[in-house]
Amino acid sequence: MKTEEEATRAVEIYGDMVRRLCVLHLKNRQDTEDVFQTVFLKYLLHDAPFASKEHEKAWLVRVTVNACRDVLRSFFRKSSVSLELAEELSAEEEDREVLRAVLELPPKYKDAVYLHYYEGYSAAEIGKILQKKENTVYTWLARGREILRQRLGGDWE
Amino acid sequence: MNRIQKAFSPVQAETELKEKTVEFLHIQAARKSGAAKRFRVYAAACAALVVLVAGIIFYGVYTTPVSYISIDVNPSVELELNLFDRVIAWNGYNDDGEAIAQGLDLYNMPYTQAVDTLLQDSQMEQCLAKEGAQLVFTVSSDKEEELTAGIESCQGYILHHGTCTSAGTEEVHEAHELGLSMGRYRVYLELQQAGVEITPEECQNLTMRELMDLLEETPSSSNGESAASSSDSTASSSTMSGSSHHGEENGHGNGTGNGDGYQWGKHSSSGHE
Repeated sequence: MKTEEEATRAVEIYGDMVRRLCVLHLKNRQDTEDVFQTVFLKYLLHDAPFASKEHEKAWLVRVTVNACRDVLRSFFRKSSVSLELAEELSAEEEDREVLRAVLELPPKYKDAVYLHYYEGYSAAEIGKILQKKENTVYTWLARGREILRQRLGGDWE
Repeated sequence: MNRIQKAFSPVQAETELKEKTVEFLHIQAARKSGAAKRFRVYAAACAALVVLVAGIIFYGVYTTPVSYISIDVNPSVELELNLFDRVIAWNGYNDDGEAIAQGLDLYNMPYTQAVDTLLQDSQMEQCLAKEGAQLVFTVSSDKEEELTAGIESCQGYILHHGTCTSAGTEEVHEAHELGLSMGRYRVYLELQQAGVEITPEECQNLTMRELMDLLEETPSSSNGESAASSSDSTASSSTMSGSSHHGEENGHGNGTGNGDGYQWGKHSSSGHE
């Protein structure tokens, strides 16, 4: 088990990233709060030390994605994300457009696109984190990119 | 900054969300450490209890007598052995016996060592040195054969030409109720059967030699079956003598006194008839 101080520090450093991963999948605030707490509780209870900051971050990405999936799997949830959320979160219309387009992607593409374009992970790294083959991640990225191109135009990147 | 980065940048964990989570973690951490502390206390208590119970059981087993070895000359001393054939008590059953028992520390000794220690005691040696002295061992145990074999291998037993008989558990209790050692109780029963009027107290302080003589002098005692074995169904009496000195029939006995002295076991009496 980690110390409370370590967990608090992790909330400060990785809170925004976890929140963004939640936005990708979850519709309401309560679910986001649940996942947020679940992820950092798991961090608090995690015994094995992390080899590096990168390792720690990748671990948190995987735990967050899995926690979101668990919430969506539960019986009464709908897997659609709230598009109104985009309005709440972003002030500029252009950004809202991009957010909406990403949130509307199929779930697997969303993770790959976000992790690649926002967090800067390569396909190989994403494959490791999400425990998928690198080629699968390439396919997701290509398809996600294609959908976004159709929605946002050729120069969206 | 690409457009996705630009679009997602404003998405941040709200201060309220972070504060709530930190508070939640604080409660969970306290609960965990409390639970861990409680678990440690319980675990320690359980371990202590197990050790205590195991200790009590072991102590109970260790200090429960399961075998008795009565050693009678004139002094009568009885050894109580635990499951591991170690001496846990030694009692004198007459004045001489008590005097010897008090002067010895046999606790925890293997019974063979205790027998030799007892027979090497100076008072005991004096008694054994008297002419015609009889050394009689009486064993009461579930592993009577093993103990008998052990006794017969003792130096003192061989040196003083001891004899060894066995007795049932009930007999031990009956003997103790009368304040007699097993060996004496056997002779006492035989004397009673033979019609000799003798009290347990008188029995206590006569030497085995004298008791044997008394038994011999009584006409009915020379008649085959021993009183002890016929009167007491629990007694599995059999004289197993490792020494040659008691049998007249093998030609080198040292006197009739010794030879016929303990014809009070089934075996010996039938052997002599």
